[in-house]
Amino acid sequence: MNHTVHLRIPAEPMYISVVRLTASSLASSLGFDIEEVEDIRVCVSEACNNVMDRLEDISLRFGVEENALTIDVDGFSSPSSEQGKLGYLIMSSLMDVVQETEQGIHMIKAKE
Amino acid sequence: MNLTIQKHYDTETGAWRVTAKGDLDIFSSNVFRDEMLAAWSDEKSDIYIDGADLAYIDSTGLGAFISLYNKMKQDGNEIYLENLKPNIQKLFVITDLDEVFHIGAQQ
Amino acid sequence: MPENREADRAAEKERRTREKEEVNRLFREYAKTKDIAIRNKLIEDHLYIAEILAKKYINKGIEYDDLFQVASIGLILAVDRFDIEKGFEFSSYATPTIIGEIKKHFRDKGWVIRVPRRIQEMSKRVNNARVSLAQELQRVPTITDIADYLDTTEEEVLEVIEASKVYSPQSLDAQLGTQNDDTDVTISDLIGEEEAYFTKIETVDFIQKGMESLNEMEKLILKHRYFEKKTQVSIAKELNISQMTVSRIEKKIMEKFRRELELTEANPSE
Repeated sequence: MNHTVHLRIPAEPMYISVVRLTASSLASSLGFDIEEVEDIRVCVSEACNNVMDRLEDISLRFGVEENALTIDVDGFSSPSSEQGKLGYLIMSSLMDVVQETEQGIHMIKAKE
Repeated sequence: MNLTIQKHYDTETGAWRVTAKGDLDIFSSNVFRDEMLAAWSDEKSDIYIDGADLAYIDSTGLGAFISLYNKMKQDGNEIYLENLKPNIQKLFVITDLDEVFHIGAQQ
Repeated sequence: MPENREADRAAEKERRTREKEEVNRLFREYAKTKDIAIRNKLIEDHLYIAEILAKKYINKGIEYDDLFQVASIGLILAVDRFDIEKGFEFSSYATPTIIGEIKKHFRDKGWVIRVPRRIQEMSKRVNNARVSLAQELQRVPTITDIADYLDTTEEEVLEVIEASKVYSPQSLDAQLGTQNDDTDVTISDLIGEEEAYFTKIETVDFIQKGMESLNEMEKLILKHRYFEKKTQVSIAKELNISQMTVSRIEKKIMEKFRRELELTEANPSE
């Protein structure tokens, strides 16, 4: 059975480090290696960066799958700024699958 | 702030020597950019950044460097990044920013 | 109007849940009936995953079409093996399966996927330097030119070029323009030419015969150059001879193989 870890933070920059901490803690315990954990940290932050200015709260869900970790961030929208596009490029490069859904963004990192 | 900046202007080589320790993210990037911009406006020269203790960077940090560089290049100044951790250097490569900034001696 | 937004969001959630339930239903039915039509629908609906993953492995030596095909096979495997009762998401299940197939494909083709980061980065810089220098110098840049330009050693540049060749499908004789470069015929040219006449076994036979006529030094250089893909410069260093000498010996090796080829052609009943 897959498990979901829910995280909700105020959309304030100071709480991004909390998200990263949760992400790395989770990823480490799931057996991702150092580089993968770093990648996951960056991607989850990038997704939050995208949402930061537009919402009051940022809602995330970490999905613990059999051989993968999924991250969903609500409210993500296609970036229009240069910096936002940079963030999206980074996410697409570091995660295995990045998919925009109507709810936000869905990312998958497979365990290898 | 989760980022500590130490900087001094090296009069001998005529360049800024900066050490950035911690995370360069959405929380700290703007302050970093503004502080570096102010320093550079005072003394216009190349900027050398030692990233040995730079633990984290993302697009916001990269954006700060880009903004900074956009001002600096008008005066022909360059940004040098040294001792970057492999994962951080990777981000510069992915975004092709390794062709904009000078990335030196890796850890 | 906030109420409408709430209603919209609720409707969205409904739709998504229904979509998920539909996919789950299809998987359950497929597990029961093994109906090809359902299987195809499931594959079609999730083909985007194969696409996304295939794209991530381009520029590593295998064409996209090839990658997509392999990824699709991975997807089909995933559809067949997925156990809906376990309670996991299909896309999360399919992703590592597809990646596994892609990586297996690289291994089967003899390429190593995990190109060391250092090599990747340097390789990029070397290629960019090559282009810039070619424009600047109006000639093919040498290893020395590139090393100077990148403020590194010739060794480093050579190592990177050789390493990145291993990670991409190059013919045996792919070369960066070195100062002593010439466009002689090489073993691979010979082999390629005769592919029409030889089968793979005969090619190995041919090489073995050809090698019989080589002396120790020539055998060594053949081994280093074509089977270990070392550069003339590094071989020269290792054997403590000049690069020119290595180049000359290579030419001799070619001659001997050419002669061997002529002999084999003259006596086809081998």
